[in-house]
Amino acid sequence: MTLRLLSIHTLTITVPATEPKGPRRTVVDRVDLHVERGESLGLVGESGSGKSMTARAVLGLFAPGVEATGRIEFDGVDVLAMRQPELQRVRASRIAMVFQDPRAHINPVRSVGDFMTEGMRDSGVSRVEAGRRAIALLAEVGIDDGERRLAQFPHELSGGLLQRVMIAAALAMQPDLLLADEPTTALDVTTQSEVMTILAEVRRERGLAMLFITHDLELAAATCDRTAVMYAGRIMEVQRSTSLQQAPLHPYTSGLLVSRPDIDLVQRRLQVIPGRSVAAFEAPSGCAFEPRCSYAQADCRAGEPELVLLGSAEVRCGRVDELRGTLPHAVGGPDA
Amino acid sequence: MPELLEVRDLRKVFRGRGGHADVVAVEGASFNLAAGESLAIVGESGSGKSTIARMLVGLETPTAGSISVLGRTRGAKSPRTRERRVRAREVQIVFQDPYSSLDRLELVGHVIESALRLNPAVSRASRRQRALELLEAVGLQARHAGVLPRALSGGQQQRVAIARAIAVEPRILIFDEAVSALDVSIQAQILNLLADIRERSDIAYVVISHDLAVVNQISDRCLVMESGRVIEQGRTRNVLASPSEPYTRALRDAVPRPGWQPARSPSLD
Amino acid sequence: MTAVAEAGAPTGRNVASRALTVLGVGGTVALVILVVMLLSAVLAPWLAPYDPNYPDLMASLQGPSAAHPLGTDALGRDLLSRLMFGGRTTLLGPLLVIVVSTFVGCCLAFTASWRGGLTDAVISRLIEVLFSIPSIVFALVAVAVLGVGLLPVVAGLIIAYTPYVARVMRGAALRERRLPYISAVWIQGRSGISITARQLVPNLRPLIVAQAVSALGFAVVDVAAVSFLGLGVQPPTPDWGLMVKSGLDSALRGQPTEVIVASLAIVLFVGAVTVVGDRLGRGVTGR
Repeated sequence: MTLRLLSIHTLTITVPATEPKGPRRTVVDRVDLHVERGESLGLVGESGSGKSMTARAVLGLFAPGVEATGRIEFDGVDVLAMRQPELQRVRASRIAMVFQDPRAHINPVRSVGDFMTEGMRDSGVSRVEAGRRAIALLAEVGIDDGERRLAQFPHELSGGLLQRVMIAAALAMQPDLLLADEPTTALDVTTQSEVMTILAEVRRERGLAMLFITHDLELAAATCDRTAVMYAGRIMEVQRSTSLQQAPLHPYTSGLLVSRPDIDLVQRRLQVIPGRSVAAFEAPSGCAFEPRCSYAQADCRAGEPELVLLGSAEVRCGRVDELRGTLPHAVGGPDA
Repeated sequence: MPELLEVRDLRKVFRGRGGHADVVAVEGASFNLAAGESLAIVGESGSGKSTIARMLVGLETPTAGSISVLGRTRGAKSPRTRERRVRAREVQIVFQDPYSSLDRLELVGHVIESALRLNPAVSRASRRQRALELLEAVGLQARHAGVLPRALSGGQQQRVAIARAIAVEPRILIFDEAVSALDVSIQAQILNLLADIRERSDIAYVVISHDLAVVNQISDRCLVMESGRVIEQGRTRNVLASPSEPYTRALRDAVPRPGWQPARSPSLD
Repeated sequence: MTAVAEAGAPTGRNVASRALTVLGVGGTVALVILVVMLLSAVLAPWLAPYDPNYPDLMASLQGPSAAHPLGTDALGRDLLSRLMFGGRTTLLGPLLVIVVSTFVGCCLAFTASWRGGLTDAVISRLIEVLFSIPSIVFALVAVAVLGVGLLPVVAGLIIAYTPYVARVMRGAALRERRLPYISAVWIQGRSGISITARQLVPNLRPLIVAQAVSALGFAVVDVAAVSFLGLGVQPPTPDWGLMVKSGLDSALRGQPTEVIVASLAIVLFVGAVTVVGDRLGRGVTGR
């Protein structure tokens, strides 16, 4: 069996307590995930789900006070056990990250060209060659007047263009894995569509794997091979995207699909998931989703269900066998 | 009988400073709104939809054109305190960011009571009671009246903002991307709440949004805006089902849904 | 999660822990130093071992001893007592400068930012003009016009410090005004004054306080400098700036104690105030 590109085992992330001497708070709870070479995995969740923390853990990006246990194997080597120099190398050339707000991650007083060629220059590439490569990368993301753009400054570019520049820069060091944390959330919907198309093309051409974090389940399912749904720091469901959209296995996934307003159909009232999302440390014992679940039974409070393998899918629900095939994925029931 | 709201040839130009050109944010916008109706203004960033909302509520003054509420045309200048009090009972607004819509130093109950002062139908003595009723009407509980906003989640703070807006019983309620910053499951709850509120009274809505699915769910008619101009108007169902403008079509085609694939839109370049 | 915000009574322990959270260890130490210095100035009449103006020529120019822990000056006056009483003029004058300049500066800033247009343009130009002149010059001009003494110096410095406050608060008020919670109450028809008093000032208070505390350090230096020049507080009133001046003479005669303790007192106070002001300011921007 070939080595998986990214393999996350029992990842648990805690943040400091609110009171001095209080217990640390868990935000990611024993997460298992994997991404194969060239594959894209969508990681979907609402506030408090822990999806962003999980993604950052892959790069070893932890805010002060944040601790992680478990194993994150990138190409066989545990990221969490890496020392700084090795981690820097991985960040510089194997795993690239694209963030939600490009303006917060680019130096506003340096030109786009400087930003794109910096990494290359550092590894000994000549100025002329680095510029040439940068223009080629910009063309790959659909920016054809690269020469002009290299001389411009970040504030002169729109959000969508700047995000494309960030993607181009991320590709510069030929990474194997792209981490995208809500890369299109701040963009207009037409720009989002363009950026996602470019990402798909670029990935296809380079065989690049992607871990795509978003709150938008439809977007993830439409653009990623597989989709994982997180709730309260736990993985609730992972499936191939097409089957997740047609036959969700977890009530939460079903709830998310059904509660979205529809662009063609008007409903008298939307079918809501009652209550609010919670973080891992706020979750009750037993199933974390139970208080909000319309299929909950007494047993669901008794103990936390295990993540169960069902063919190529994984589900964490005590009633998965009974509910299989009956959960609605759209307004009008499971066969809509 | 005059329409509740009549907007004619509304124009807003922002003067360019420091050598920059003037920006025409809104050009020639005209539309009506009847009591009890829900009108959506759809567009992407730079379309001018938010500027229109701000003009309706007095935060910006139109460069040209007119806004009339219940037959009374508004003056062009920035309103003085007395005029603002009159307008407060006509139009209210809920903003996009729940975390900065409430004074972080003010108790939730006090926020609502403060708004109730404007409502002549509520006597001083019954303000407290009415405030608690309003909190319950938006899905919160009486105990939330005694806390500061930071103790509440984003969705809960947005409910308080809605309660504050309806406390004064306005004729028109404007939502400026009011559900965009919320979780999907909370968004659905708030959309249902807004439908409930509209059913109970003849309040009219103006819903500013970039999200066509939200627009379809909650509006009767819509305006599509691009670069400051209204390019299409009509019953929401018709505009979304068979748009006449390529831009509207591109907007609709870009919304992720089951079966959707992202695509570039060559017609826009 | 809904953790209800608590308004617990300030017990000794939780005041201390809040100080530590906001100010850090360094800031809390600085705050303690400030409190000690201010208290010894305020309570000087009861705490000082000697009358600060009582000359004892037999004991002149003595170094630290059991009878005089900080030594004596050229006229045999006890330095510790003079330091404690001196704190009253050295610290009270600047305090007045800060309180008045903060108040006037805030008024100008809020008026300018709220009215905008011509009002804002006029006030902003005024601020710029006042800015271009060093604060000492204001103090000197005031002394030239009104004569020497603490009050003229204070008056001059009030005019000097107001533009600093006004500029910072105008920017802050302009930013805060854009926030939706202000728009919401404006739409409800509250007057500009009501919104400024009930929304803007309370929300900007941390910034106002941090800014004022930092400026206090500068004011102390300015007042002491003018006194050192002989144009502020007049002898025999004890004042740290004057003590630095007379201490220089004593130092030339072989007894450096006075100039050292007076200079150290100024440095210690200004340093502590700056650290506290900086920490308070950090809490503000870190929001």
